[in-house]
Amino acid sequence: MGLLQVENLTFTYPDGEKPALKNVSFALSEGSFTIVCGPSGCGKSTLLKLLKKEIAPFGQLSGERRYLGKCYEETEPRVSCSQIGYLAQDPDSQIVMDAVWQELAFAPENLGMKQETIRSRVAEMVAYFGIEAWFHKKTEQLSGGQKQLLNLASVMTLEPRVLLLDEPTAQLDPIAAGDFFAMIGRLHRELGVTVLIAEHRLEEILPMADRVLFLEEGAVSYDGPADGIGRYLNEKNQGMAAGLPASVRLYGMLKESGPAPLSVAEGQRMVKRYGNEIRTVETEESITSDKPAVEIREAWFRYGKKGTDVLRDTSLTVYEGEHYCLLGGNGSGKTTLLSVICGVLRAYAGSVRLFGQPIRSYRDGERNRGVTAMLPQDPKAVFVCDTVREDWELACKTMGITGAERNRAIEEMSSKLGTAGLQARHPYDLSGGEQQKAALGKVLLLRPRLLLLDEPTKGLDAAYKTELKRILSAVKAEGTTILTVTHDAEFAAECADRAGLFFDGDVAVSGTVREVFSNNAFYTTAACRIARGYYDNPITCEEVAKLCLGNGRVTS
Amino acid sequence: MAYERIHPAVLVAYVLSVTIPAMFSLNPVLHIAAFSGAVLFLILTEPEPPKVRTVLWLSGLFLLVVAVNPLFSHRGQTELFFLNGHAITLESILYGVRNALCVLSVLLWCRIFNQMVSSEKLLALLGRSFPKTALLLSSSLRLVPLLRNRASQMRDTQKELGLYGNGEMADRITGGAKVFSMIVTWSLDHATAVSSSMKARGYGLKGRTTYTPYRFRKADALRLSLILAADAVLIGILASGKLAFQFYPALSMESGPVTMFGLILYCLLVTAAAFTEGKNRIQWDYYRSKI
Repeated sequence: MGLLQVENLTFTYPDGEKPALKNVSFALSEGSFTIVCGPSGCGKSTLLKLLKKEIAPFGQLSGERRYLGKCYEETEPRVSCSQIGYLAQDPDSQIVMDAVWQELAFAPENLGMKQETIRSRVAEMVAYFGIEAWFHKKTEQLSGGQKQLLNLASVMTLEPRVLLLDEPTAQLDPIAAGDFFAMIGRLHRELGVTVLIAEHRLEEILPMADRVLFLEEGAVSYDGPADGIGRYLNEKNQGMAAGLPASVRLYGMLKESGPAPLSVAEGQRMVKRYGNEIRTVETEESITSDKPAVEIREAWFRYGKKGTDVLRDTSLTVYEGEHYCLLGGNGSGKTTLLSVICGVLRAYAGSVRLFGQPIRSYRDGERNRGVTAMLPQDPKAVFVCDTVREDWELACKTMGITGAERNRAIEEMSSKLGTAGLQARHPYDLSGGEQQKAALGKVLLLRPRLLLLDEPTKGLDAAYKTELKRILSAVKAEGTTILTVTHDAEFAAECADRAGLFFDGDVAVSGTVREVFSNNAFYTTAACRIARGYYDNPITCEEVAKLCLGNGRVTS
Repeated sequence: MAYERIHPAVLVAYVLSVTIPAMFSLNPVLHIAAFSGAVLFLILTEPEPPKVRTVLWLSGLFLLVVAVNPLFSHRGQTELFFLNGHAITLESILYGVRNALCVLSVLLWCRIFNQMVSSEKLLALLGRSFPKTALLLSSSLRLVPLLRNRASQMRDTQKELGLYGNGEMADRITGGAKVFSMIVTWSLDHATAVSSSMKARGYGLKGRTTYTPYRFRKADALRLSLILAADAVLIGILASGKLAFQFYPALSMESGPVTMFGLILYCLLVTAAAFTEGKNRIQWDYYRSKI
């Protein structure tokens, strides 16, 4: 008998036409690690919420949910809320209290534990999670990664036996996400906590998992071991396959058989079964103009008189018509640089030129209309109206486009982005990927010659990422210059012309994407790491696969 | 700081016992004591000397309060000069000085209170008797910086997207209203998410307890009883009128052993905080020199 069982679970939202979940059945055995994945809107969030009785959405429900053999309806409230822990996506909206220690004490207080018990639980969590350094801080002072670790620690104070995690790292940068997954792995290994995690970033957790459920339109279409999901997705669902670890994608492209390699090391072994007579990918030099769109010379910036310099002697040139990706760690000042380029912040020394003119020569209104436009990290900040359509109309109004011309512009944008169905909806009701597209639409309606993107792939699943790449290459083809700030090396490798590594307030390495990634050993794509030392310069899975197949298989 | 080792309840009782007599008595000796006690404490605990601006602002306030009284009150027997046919008396000026000292010392003690008793400590105290209110306050305290960040992020984004760009008044007002209404929507959204996170962690179950990380030790009990005893004696003396002080028509003060005792007791109370800090420092230096 499993710890948690679901039988023929079907669920329909009150305003839903189709059921969000259809006949879902599975059982989690004690100490197992299960991943639920699937495209956005496949019902994985709904499933997780339904398994957490306290926050289960309203709607029409049939089928059975059982915890320790008992029906959910009969489970003691104290048992269900402490033994089944739940963590959502957004770190900010789960923190209730002002100070870290208050947040840690919150859950034990709710269960009416005694002072001494609470003290020891809090102490244990602080030691186990390594919270000592920021235990006395305010919750608002924490970084996103710390906030999410705090949320996890707060859930763990109740000593749950099952953890339900709903895309817990979607809002985190890769380093913080890695730390978070490492902690989940530790909880699973050392305490035997049963984990059910909804996630599309499979790169890091697939090696930890022993089982994967793949949901499609509310129904389970794959239920099996972790190393089988690669083959399944490579055969059945190309869109989602892009979210698989590089080694698994490569495995699919090479049409290998047997268990799929889940780590980079296993991927390297697989690649070495092929020859390496031909070591380099032939590259065609992309032709970009030599006219600079952005030209920053020795710029310095700091927040406040006494602050430390965030931009230190920064120089950067982005040429017209190219897509430049700026990579770098958290807090390195990438976002600040974007704000300086779009004129919200001003460098106190050095020069910033846009399309050959000093940035100060543009008047405020001028710069915003048709020169630069920025898509911020959180697309929600873009919307100010009650429907997407109204927001887009507002953008047209800013540009002075009205009447029939406006309607045509909106129609065109809508068909370009594939957002026709979203026009009448409230921006906050959209899913993360839809929000991103609607926000991008509004920004593009301002017809910028220079498009600035801040972490555009954050929280997007593989299918939306592919969609975003398609849109951006169409935008680039129209002559728009794109400058992207991102952590996502894979994304940069696939759609940028040139890339730079931002470090300590300056661009440390800059060059074509191929130069940057094939020279970097750590900060590079997984495909690059797999091919490293065996082939010279491939940076994407497609290129590695092409080289492998071109050389042919040497051993079996 | 030495006060970090003391239970917040003691700290609250202490600051109240210092400020309340200074607020309600007319005796300028108490105000001088309260003022000097506060300055001494701040010198010992503030990491940096006060900014020129703060000093200027406080002296300005002092002079203003001093000046207001003689302008409106012309009582007193020692006439110094006439202004618009009204006598400006020494007594009314001194009464003004008393008022200014009173305002200033209460201000400084409020600042000390702020420094000693952080919002967390205050909430932990409140949580004992009013757990719901304390929880509400703490979650609101969390919301304030969150909303502020959100608002500035949205404003910047909209500025960059040209919503405020025209520079026309009407445009700015409608833009501001739009951003404001969206922040309201966002905070409602946020509130639902927070409430489900609370429910998921068992909020709403019966028998919620309140945790406080501050332990009430024996030393705290001793300190609190000393403070309360001093309070009782001082209140007794104040009520008996032995600490009374008259400004008009001429300055006059009660004297005698009871008055002296009351004044000395208050001085001791007021300097107790500074004394503890000073002792703490000397101890540190002493131990350091031993190492």
